Amino acid sequence: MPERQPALLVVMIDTASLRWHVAAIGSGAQVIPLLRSEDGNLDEYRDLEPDAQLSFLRHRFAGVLQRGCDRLYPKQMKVSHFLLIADGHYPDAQPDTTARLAAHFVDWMINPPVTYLLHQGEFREDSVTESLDSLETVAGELPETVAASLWAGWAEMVELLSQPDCWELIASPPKSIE
Amino acid sequence: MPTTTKSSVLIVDDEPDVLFSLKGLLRRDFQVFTAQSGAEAMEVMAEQDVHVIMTDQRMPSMTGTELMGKVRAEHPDAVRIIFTGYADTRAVVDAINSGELYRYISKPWDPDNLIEMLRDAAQKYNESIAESELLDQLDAYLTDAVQLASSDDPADRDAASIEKFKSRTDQLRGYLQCLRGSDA
Repeated sequence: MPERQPALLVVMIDTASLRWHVAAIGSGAQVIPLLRSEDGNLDEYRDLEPDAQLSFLRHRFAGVLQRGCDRLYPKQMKVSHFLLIADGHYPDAQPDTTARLAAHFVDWMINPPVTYLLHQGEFREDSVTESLDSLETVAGELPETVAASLWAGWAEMVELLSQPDCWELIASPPKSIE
Repeated sequence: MPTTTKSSVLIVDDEPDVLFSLKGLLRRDFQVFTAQSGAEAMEVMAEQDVHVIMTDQRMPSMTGTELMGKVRAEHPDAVRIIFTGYADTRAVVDAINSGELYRYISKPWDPDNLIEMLRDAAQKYNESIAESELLDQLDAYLTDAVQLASSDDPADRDAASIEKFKSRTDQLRGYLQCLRGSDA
């Protein structure tokens, strides 16, 4: 089995457009844009009952994380830590949805571990400082090495959000039993 | 015993990019078939010799557990695996307890671990076929062995008969080796 380079897998969740981007941050703060969804990829939850909303979001983000792992594999990289970063709470969802969603991933995914972070407002290149004080940890641990890698890659990662061609577009599936 | 060099795996998921990604991941180690629905999967199962079937649980029209019930009834030798985005506990626990599944795995999985798990599943398929063949053939083989040992008829011991018997012996040994491999 080839030796794979460890990388952070970062899911950036835009709660206004209900879309997500997935990037990897490798050694030396190398940022690799991987995947993006269409706008409204998450909006199906809005029509559901609270428990079903949570179920939908858990399932959708599990698939997002899976795709990220799959895309890193041919690059000889392997996820060492998952970071889910939302720019707010989910509109039209129960107030505790973010906390329950975050707790689910942290409880169920131990290796590699997960941290769910809440960013104060829209992602901007300068919205995260070295202290990461604009990021609230909702669930999970944020080891210093992971925080340092995130900080090192943040500005470039956010700058790439405005370049849609850098990311592989994942078409939204048809509305289903989710 | 399967005759193809690579074990065959059927992946079922309603999202095409997931199938594309998994096919790319697995094609070096396995003969990979894909299907986007339970109905399409059953068509592939009818046409191809599928050793391992791995399906998403959450699909429109037919869920993974419903599909596995059909596969178990119509292709009982195929090793069955369900994957899902989270602990969709009731359906999956029911499926495991009713003996319909070999493994249940949740996303995200490590690609290296997935390949390893599918290799194990393919080995289980080979063992299952070997055991079945061994049981099918052993009784007739022993009857013929006793006949050969006790016969006074030279025709029973001519070169062609001996060669045929050796060939059957080797075949049974092959099945035994396959089964013993699982104990190692």
